This record gives sequence, C-alpha cells and structure tokens, in this order.
Amino acid sequence: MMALIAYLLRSYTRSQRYFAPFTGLVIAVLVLYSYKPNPVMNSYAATAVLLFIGCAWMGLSFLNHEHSVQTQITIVHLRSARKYTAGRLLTLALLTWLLDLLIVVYPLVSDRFDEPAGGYRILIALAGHGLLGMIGVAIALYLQASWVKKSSHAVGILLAIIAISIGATKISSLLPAQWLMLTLLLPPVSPVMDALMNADTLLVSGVLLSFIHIFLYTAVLVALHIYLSGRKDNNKN
Amino acid sequence: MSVRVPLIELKQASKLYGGQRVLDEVSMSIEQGTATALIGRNGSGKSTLLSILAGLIHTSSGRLIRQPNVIIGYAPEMFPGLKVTPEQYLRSMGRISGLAAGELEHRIQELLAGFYLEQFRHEIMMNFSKGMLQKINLIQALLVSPALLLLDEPLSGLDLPAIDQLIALLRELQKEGTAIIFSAHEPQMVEALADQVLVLQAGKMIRNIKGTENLWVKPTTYIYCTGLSSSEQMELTDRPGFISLNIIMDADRGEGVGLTVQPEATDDFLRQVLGAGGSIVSVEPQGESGI
Repeated sequence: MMALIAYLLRSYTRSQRYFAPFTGLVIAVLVLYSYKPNPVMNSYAATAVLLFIGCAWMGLSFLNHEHSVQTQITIVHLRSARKYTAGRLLTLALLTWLLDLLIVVYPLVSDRFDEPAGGYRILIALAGHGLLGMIGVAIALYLQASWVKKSSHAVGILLAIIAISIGATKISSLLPAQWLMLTLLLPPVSPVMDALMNADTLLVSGVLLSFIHIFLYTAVLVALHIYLSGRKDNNKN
Repeated sequence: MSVRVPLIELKQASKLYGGQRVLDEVSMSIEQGTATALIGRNGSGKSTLLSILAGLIHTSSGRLIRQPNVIIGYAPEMFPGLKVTPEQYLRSMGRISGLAAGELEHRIQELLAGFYLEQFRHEIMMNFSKGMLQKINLIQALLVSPALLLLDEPLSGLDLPAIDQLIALLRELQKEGTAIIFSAHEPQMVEALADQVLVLQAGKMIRNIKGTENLWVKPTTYIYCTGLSSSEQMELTDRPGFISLNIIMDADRGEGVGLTVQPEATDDFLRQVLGAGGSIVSVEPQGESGI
C-alpha cells in the first residue's frame, strides 16, 4: 500500500492538478488571517469550512488526475480494484491531514489570535478540520470522472452540495416540519461548523456528538464507495 | 490420466453497455503455456474480452473462472505519455506488484536493454514516440513474470527489431509456461505465436481455430449442422481433428454451426453431432482452411 501511495503522490504532484486547489486554499487562509487579532474558534470554524471546500476540490482533481488506461494498469499490478480505491483514499487522507496541520498551526506560529489558543482548542480545531476535510473528500469520491462523465456536471453538483451543506442549519429552519427528516441526509458540515464556533461555551459532549455524527456520515460514504468500486467496471474511457 | 486445469475460463460471457451487446456468449478456455490470438475488426469485442480476462470489467452474464492467485500481466491499447521517466514509472509499478527491490532493478535493466530503451531511462515519457510508449507498456506487463499475459494490439507502433525481439521474448515466456492472449491485426504475430485463434465478429466468437498448422492450406471437411447447445459446441472444439467453428445465423433454420475438421476426423464429428441430438445439414470436402 505504501508503494501505491508513493506512486499516487508522485503522479498527482507531477500532473500539477494539485496547484489550483492548494493555491486557492492557501490564498483564502492568508486573506482570512491578513489582519489581527482574530478570535480563536471563530477563525478555526472559518478555516475548517475552507478546508472542506478545498479538500472536495482537491479530491476531485486528485481522483481525475490519472489517465484511465494507467488506472487499469495500476489495478492489474495491485490485483484488486478495492485496494486501489483504498490506496487513493489513504493518499487523500494523508494530504488532508497535512493541510489540516498547516492550517491549524499557521495562526499559532504567526501569532494571529487575540489570545492563547490552549491545548483543548487546538485539539478540537485539528479534529474539526480533519473531519470537514475528509467529508469533502468523501463527497468528491462520487463525482469523479468514472462516476459522473461530464466534468461540468460534477463541478455543478459539487458546488451545490457544498452550498447546501454549509447552509444546512439555515435551510432546516426554513423547511416545514415534515421535511426536517430530509436534512439528516445532508452532509453534517454546519453542525461541526457551529460546534467549532461555540466550542468555548459548549459541553465537550456536545462537540463530540457533532464530530461523531460527521465521522459516521463520512465512514458510510467511504465504505459504500469502496464496496461499489469493487463492482464497478474500470473502463478505458 | 492427468487432467489439465485451465488457467482461466470464460463460460458464455456476455457484456452489455447501455443495452448494446458488445460481447455475446463467448466461451473460451486457456491453459498454461498456450498462445491465443484474438482477431476481428475494430469494435468486434477484442479489447472488452481482454479487459474481462484482466478482471477490470465484469461480465453482464456468464462466468469467469480463474485459478486463484494467477499473476496477470496486462498491456492495454493506447498507453499514455506520463510525466515521469521510464525508470521511475517501472519502479513504481514493480513495487506496487510486490517485487523485491533487487529483483525489480534487475528486471528493469534487463527489459529496458532488451527493448533498446536503456538510453532513455531518465527521460520524461511525455515526449516519447508511440513506439517507445508501447515498449514501456510491454515492459510494465512483463515486469513480474506473469502466468497469464494479456496484450492488446502489442505490435502497434513497434519497429521491426522490436517486433522480432517481442516475438522471441513471448516464445520464451510461452516455453516457460506463461499463457499469452493477444489481439492482433498483423498475421506475422499470429503465425509466429498462436496455437489457437479466436475470431470475433460483432461481439460473437464466430470461429475457433486450433493449431497453427491449420492456418495453412490443407484439405479439410466442412460440416454444417444445427440443434447444438453452446456447451455441446464447446465440447466439439476439444476433440482431436477440430480446426475451426463458426456460428451461422440462418433465417429458416435458426442458429447453425459450421465446423471445419480434418478429413480423417469427419466420421467422428458426425457421430458426435448426431449423438448430441444435433442435425447434419451438409458435409463438404474443402481444399483449404485458414483464418
């Protein structure tokens, strides 16, 4: 698996498709911290949402970077399409974790906050960023070129999902009571965003509950994708 | 008596894309150390068949039976120009396959030299010619000595010395027990390697020719019969004296089978067809056989 991850990282960086999502994310974070001081958890909530968007974008560009013929060759060498999918996910998890670390550490080392962050808040921020990043990746899994043929459709659907996920709390307050159950199907991005923003006043259990919710949601998306990838054809186009 | 277990077997495999049948009830059995040529026009289903055998595409119906842990080498058509050097690429593929470092370096060295690519090992592949890319494609398929080698149009873009080199290498592998299945338009490779030729037309396997000697001009007998099931037709292809089989669609009689057999085996085939409940429509001596 290490060999596959090393190969995918090399092939992704050589493709230069990483450039746009990475640069976009870095610019957004730098702009956000361009003035100081900033409130700790409000800033972390904002950068976590930026990471969610950035990881969804990075996920899509990563999953589409390899030529379909080369994907076939890699799967044959690996002897399993599911292992290949798992390897791609682990590579994306590694990239997400790196970005998570950079985004959480940057304001600390550049002294952008109005007060010391403290261990608890840093821990919550690391977990929140990681979870929002991974749900972005999990959504991108279903929109890659081998699943959604037209890239314009994939980008459109991704943008719609991002917008709905971020605005889910507002959307559910506008929906009639009988439709509220439907909001459970939405990616639970806004509850984590709220938990991060209010981490200073919320009970630990409240924060953890929102983290468990998004973790389970992501786990279901990922597990279903790995299962389906073993049943899917790996065509040349 | 020892029973030879096929390395890989397809039983009445069909593949549909959006309701369109691109492979239609194809059956085949591949044993160790054999070379099978798939021939047919563009769109006849050769690449789909190879992808199914590689485990990349699932059949819509029918079965694929593969011996456990069969190591497959696969060289698809249209290998892309990548932004890495041959050495980096082959090292990655070898590691993914699980080859030990020392063995991998030796194989890369040996194969790059064998395909005259030694001097390009540190150059980015993006600007390689079609032939050079095809060589890299073949090398990656040969990195881990495969038990089953699947090659889709392997001669595409290759120069003459490389063709000779490839054929010699494949013969060597075949002797060592590797089963080779390749699609080709060039008779040169079919004649040099194949001991079985499967002819595909619009997704159907219309002929199954066994033995290279049967590709040449010789007297044969052509038997036209009807009323045989697919499995009974398959049984005929394993009998001594069998040369080729093609499916014939007749508006009056329905699906029929055209069998080309060696003259001395004619009686045996007639008995077999009648014994299986089939009906003989015609028997004709012929002056030649071939693809």
